[in-house]
Amino acid sequence: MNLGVKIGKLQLKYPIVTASGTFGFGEELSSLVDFSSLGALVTKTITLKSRRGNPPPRIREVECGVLNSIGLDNPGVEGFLKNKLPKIKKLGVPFIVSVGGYSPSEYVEVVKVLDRVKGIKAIEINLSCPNLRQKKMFSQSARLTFKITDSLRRITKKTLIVKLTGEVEDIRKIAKSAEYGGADALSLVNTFFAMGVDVDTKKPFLGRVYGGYSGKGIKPLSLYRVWECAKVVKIPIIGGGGIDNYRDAIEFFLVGAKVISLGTINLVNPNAAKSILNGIIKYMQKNKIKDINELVGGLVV
Amino acid sequence: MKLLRVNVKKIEKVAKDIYRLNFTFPYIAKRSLPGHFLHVRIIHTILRRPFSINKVEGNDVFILFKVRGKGTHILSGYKKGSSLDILGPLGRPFTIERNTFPILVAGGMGIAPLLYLAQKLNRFRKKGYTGWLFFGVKKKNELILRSEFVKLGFRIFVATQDGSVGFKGMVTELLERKLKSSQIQALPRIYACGPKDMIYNLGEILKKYPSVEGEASWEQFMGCGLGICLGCVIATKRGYKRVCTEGPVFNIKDVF
Ligand SMILES: Cc1cc2nc3c(=O)[nH]c(=O)nc-3n(C[C@H](O)[C@H](O)[C@H](O)COP(=O)(O)OP(=O)(O)OC[C@H]3O[C@@H](n4cnc5c(N)ncnc54)[C@H](O)[C@@H]3O)c2cc1C
Ligand SMILES: Cc1cc2nc3c(=O)[nH]c(=O)nc-3n(C[C@H](O)[C@H](O)[C@H](O)COP(=O)(O)O)c2cc1C
Repeated sequence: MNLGVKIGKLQLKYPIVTASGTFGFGEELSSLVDFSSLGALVTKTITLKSRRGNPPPRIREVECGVLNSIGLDNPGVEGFLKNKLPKIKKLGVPFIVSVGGYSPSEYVEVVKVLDRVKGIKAIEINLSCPNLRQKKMFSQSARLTFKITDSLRRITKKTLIVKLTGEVEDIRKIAKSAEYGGADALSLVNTFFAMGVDVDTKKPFLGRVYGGYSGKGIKPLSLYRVWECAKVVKIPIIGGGGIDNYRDAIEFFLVGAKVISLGTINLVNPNAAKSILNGIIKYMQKNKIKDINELVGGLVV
Repeated sequence: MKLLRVNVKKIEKVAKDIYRLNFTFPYIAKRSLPGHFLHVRIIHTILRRPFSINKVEGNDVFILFKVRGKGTHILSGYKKGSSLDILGPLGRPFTIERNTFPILVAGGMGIAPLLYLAQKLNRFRKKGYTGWLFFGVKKKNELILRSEFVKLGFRIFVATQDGSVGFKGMVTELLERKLKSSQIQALPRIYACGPKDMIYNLGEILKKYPSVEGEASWEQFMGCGLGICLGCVIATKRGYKRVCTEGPVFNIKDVF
């Protein structure tokens, strides 16, 4: 049975990655997690300078998912290279460095630095963080999505994955812009803008008032967006949003994701990839599927 | 720290809306220190819920919890034999300074981690009291576990908001009066857990006693419990700190 997939130049043993921000830099989990079930881990988004993030409370469970407003709290690219990278390398699992920015030029500056670092093979460009000061996200604009992707493509040959928001009028246009810009793969979706209110105190759940919604409640929304994009791009899609069991994962493969990403479930069970991988294997055996790539886009309509 | 499955050995109602649950697990019993917490996955909820270790007896580990919302409501319905998915022990524990006089300050459910601390402190008791416990509650039915503290050698001072038992008013006010009027042999050291206002007031008191150190266990809405999601931060003098890994126990002077 083949479960291996290729994303740009990155060969993954299994079609599962962790979603940025829900697995730290991996190393924090080394005593708890069996990394061997992961295709790759995606790091917390890093920016040029270290950032302190948003005021607390930053995370809160709601009916069908989780609200968060972490706000790119991260050690910055220098802190990452100095304190995190050496430890990630020791884990023996492929990794993808997630990069964020407040301006197109910030992405360029960070990627320039990362491009010079040998051990880094793949970069995920987070064009969809909803917790930045300007509420608009870069991936809400086809023009900016193209512009940023293109400018990064010019400065690096490393595998470039572009992470999109699902909150757009027509995600197909954005997906194509990233593809034209030279992305090796797409990652979707990020969280959806959301909020909650404590009626007793009349205060918002999050210190920042609003934040991103993830988990089960967004699964149908993410699935639809992956399906939309898969129809119009040739590059592979890393699909996720609300996956917490193997059947969810299969749904994403069927609508066209080549790799699935696990986010919120990692916060509850950092070993979730293992049981989901086992479920996928059993499903493939039962359905006599020899190669995961046969499953991708296999939706019967 | 481990991910494990245990079965509820016993769950009992301690007072209105307050329950105590225990299970047997030698690893947690041996490894955990006062101030550590367990991150518990409760059915029909998404994120885990943190609970301090309340007491350890042999290989039995106890948590004490109050029904506050969905998760604790469901947990209160668990029965003997129910399966529990636990991550722990987690967090930075209290630092026990042997040659100081322990003063425990609890506000409401803040009593939970302090009993385990009292158990450990009792081992160092020479003569006289192990320490003092200042216990502030809204209503007198929340005055739980007092006999257990007495057994561990603690002298208890009670404050209730309505004055139905003990001092009428804030527990920190009572503490300040006692500090002024009493002679304490050794240097006092404060260990606290309770609402933010209470810890803030303790911070104000500590400013008047610069040689006295105080630690408190903080609460915040929490995600992973492992330091990776950066969800449970509180604002400290040195920036945001994660309750799950840099806390839950912080030096009060580092925060207020
Ligand atoms: C390190 C740590 C140790 C804790 N130890 C104990 C313990 O020993 N015993 C105990 O009873 N509780 C303890 N708590 C609090 C406990 O985790 C919450 O009461 C519980 O998560 C509530 O879950 P719920 O689903 O019932 O409530 P939810 O539906 O999540 O919330 C209901 C209401 O409870 C309050 N609340 C809930 N969680 C928190 C929180 N983390 N911080 C502040 N306010 C909150 C809010 O007012 C909220 O509106 C601890 C918290 C932390 C961070
Ligand atoms: C606590 C938390 C932090 C996150 N931080 C980031 C981040 O730094 N960068 C990013 O691209 N996405 C971030 N995300 C979004 C996730 O990577 C993922 O896209 C989203 O949560 C949807 O997947 P899920 O429903 O499986 O969680 C974060 C999500 C959560 C819950």
